[in-house]
Amino acid sequence: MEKKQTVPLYKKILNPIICVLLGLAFSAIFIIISGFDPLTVFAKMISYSFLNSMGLYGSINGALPLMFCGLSVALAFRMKLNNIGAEGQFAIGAVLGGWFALYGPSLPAPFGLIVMFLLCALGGGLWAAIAAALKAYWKINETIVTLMFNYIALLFLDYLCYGPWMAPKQTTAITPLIPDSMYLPGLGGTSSALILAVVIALLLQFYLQRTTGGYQISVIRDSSQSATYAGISVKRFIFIVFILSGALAGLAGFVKVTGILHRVQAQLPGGAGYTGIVVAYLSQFNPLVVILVAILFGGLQNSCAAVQIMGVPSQIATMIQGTIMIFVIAGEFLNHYKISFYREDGMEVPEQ
Amino acid sequence: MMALIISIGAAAVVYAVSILYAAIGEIFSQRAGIMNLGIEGIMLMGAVSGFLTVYHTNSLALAMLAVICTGAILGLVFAFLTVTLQSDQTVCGMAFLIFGSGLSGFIGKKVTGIATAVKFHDISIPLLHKIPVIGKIFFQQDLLVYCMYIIIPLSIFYIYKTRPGLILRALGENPAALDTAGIHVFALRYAYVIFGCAMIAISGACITLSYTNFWNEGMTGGKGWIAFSLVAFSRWNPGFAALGALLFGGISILGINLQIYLPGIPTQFYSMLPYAATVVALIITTGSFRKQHTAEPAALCQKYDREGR
Amino acid sequence: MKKKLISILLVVAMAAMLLTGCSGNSGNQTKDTAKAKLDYSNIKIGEITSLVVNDGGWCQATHQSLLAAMKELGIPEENLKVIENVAEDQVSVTNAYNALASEGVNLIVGASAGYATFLSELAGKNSNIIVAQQGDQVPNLIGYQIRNYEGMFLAGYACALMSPTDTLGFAASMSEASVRGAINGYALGAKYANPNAKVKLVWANSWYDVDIETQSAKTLINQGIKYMGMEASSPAIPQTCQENGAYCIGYNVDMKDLAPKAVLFSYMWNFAPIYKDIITSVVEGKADTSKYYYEGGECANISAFNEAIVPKDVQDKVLQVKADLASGKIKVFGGELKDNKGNILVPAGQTMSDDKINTQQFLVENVIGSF
Repeated sequence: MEKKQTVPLYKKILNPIICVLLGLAFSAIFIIISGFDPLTVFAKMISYSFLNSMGLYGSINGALPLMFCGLSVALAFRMKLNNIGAEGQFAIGAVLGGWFALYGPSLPAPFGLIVMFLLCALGGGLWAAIAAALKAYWKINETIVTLMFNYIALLFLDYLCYGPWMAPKQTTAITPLIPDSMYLPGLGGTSSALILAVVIALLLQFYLQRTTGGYQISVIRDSSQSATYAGISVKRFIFIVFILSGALAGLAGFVKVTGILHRVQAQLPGGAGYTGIVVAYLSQFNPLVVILVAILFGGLQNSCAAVQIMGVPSQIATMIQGTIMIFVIAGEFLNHYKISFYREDGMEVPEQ
Repeated sequence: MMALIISIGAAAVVYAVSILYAAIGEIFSQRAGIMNLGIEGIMLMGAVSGFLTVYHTNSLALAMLAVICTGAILGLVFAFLTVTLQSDQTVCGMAFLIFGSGLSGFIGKKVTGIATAVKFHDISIPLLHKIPVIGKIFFQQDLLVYCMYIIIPLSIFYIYKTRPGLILRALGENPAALDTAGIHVFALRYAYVIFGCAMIAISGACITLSYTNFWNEGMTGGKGWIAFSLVAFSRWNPGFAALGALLFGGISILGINLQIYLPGIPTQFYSMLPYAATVVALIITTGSFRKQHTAEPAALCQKYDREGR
Repeated sequence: MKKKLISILLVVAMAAMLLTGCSGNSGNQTKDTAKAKLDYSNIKIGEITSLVVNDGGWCQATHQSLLAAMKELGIPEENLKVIENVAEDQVSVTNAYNALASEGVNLIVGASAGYATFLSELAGKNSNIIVAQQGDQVPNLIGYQIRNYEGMFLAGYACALMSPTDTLGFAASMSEASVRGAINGYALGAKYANPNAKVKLVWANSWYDVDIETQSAKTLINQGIKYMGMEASSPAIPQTCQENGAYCIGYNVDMKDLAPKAVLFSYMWNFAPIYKDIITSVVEGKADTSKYYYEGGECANISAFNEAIVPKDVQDKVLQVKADLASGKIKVFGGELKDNKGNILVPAGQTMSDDKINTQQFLVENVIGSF
């Protein structure tokens, strides 16, 4: 963190913007190859996804699960825990919460939602706790464990939605509607989950920046050895961070089920867990930036439909995502270059 | 029973080879200290470039050349980002994954769902294919499989018994020491990353040139991730990677067979088997209750900066 | 301090975004009310598919049918707006719907059963756009489904006639009702040819997975099975059959060219007659969103026989059965019908209701496997 703050704020904001523009310029080549005017295409993308209420709401709705997955990943990576299991934690969160919503006792309005909120977080957290335990006690590579657990969780969700939970007289893998009392209140064309996301991002920001726990996490990130010398229990933090991270991903399930879909469905996460990794990185693991970047990604996916009507191939949106990322990564070099003027011990070497 | 073993074995070999190219490429890349998470995207690019070449030229040799070039070009860009610019390797990998899947779908759009006339066909090796059981499992395969039989021992020999192999291992453990010894760390890393990406691209080509002879968007279906898991699981050793790939392929096919032999259990649970087995095997092979439990290159994912030395 | 500044900026930016969103709320809905009279030259059709329209499988079948129907009616091809790669997910479907709506389409074709729930909600709010939806009947949508079991009955019948053994195979993707319909149709057709015929079933648990489909086919072949049916989108199964000297029936589209030595013939979806009817009703202003098409016959079509491997007498017999199905002489789900757990589904002398057929939750007696 110390290093980052030495980069002037205007540069921190300006660099990524320039890189995004360069990325768009590069994508423009492909749009020209497919026979379209890139400026028209970009204008259409922006105007469709952000400059009208319908498109904006669509972008935000698409972004809601991404926000939670992004926060989940951002938290884990703050301690260098490669949790790429947001997808599976999302699914298990939705399974546990969905089970309560569909089959649990009906509670008066806010309580049902609260119980479901907790259950979704619990589901995601417990699923992540397995990977945490393996990591903490046996030092098992968490990247692979969480990845494999994604497949298992999704297949389990498939089993439920194609089997016991499937709505009667349905030909597709989707459950009946959850009770009305379990709907999150709407907010314009989107859901109040947006407020929830911002609140949670603020809380997370506060935890990471202002509390001892957050400080200890950053110590562990820099060196788990020195953390151990300083008397921090690394094991304990592996559990804390992993469970919190899983719980956040589980909450993506809560938001998707109560705020958007009002049902549980096979393949519910739909890749949000993986896109969340990208979102988290592009926002430099800063919780509040995650929210914004998630909305941008929601918009990008949203605009994919609009540009297809012009005849632009559907793959363009994916390519633009990738290209922008590559350019933003390359652009970070401009920031890194500063860092290399500092020694390991943190002593500042005067520039030039 | 014998027929069952042969069939599971033969199918497992084909499956294993198609992820082993990627896994071995990734082992070299990671041994050099660079983690490439974008396997899936690069595989797709390899698959589509090979398919397009075959489609237009009907030449498998040209196709393999195109595949290797595609992999190498992507590798060059990846190396530029991770070695020269020292960007975060995980995020670079994710970017390549997304970019590769988008671009492959884009350039392969016109040839989706069309079969080519040419693909790698099975060749029976004289004498060897007559060995009971083993012959049918291992020696009635196509050229890409036989190449793999040579690559595995060769790569083990290279990594553990040669001087360049020693340097490669040091590259991932302590690049600074190598640098002081006058070895050009950056150039070597470039070379291994490019080699790794070319191998990953060949993995993709296995799918469009040998497994099947058609192309469809996203047809690797998660194989890249499996290859990625194999690397840590194998403790960065191509030999164990081969065993792991066989295990994964074998269990996946066994799951399908179990659907017939033990009906009544929801089939999704059988489909979970290979993933669960991978986790169990990972625990057994790399758990810290073992001595020398990890073989992870110490400098993996670490930024290496000559000026910061 | 700077952190705080960024945070505040972000919150302000978000609030601004929401506000602009709300203020732009009006004016979008009423755009298309006063427009010229609809005819075949100016009707605009939207299509939403889950994969690309040349996927060599389901989406291709849908797309080709739609193009064929449009051609017959003289609708120019550029009046079709396609949105591909739309996941079966509420947000994606809504976005695609809105994008098409803003283009002023008159009819939207939802080409995946998974869209039904979401399109139903959307269509309920906007009666200007007629939505035709593949799958089960749901409110607000013109539903359509094809009795694929009729075509698959012919597939099973042909396989059982040709197979030297009593055991046939079936490789399926995901356990949805129409997929079970294909399996049951196939098994009942096989039973019609050979009362002892059994069908061994394996699931891929994925809509598209080249590896698992290949492995499924190999597994069945290793069971000594020579003839198999399939419900899968990739050509992996026919090609595996071809390499191992087995035979299969293609699915979705004509797969003969992909494996000329293995594909006897293919089951092909033909939605064109349904689409033609729907488009006509929209143009004439008579579209009825409670209508449900559940068509067999030419809609559950089979391709031309692969002359090189299907003997003439088998061809004749299959065509005879096809005629019998059309005339109602053969009732696929006619009694007495048992499921493979021993329950009687239909007593002797009765036939199963369409409703029950369309949402079937069983596998018939001679299927070995579960779902």
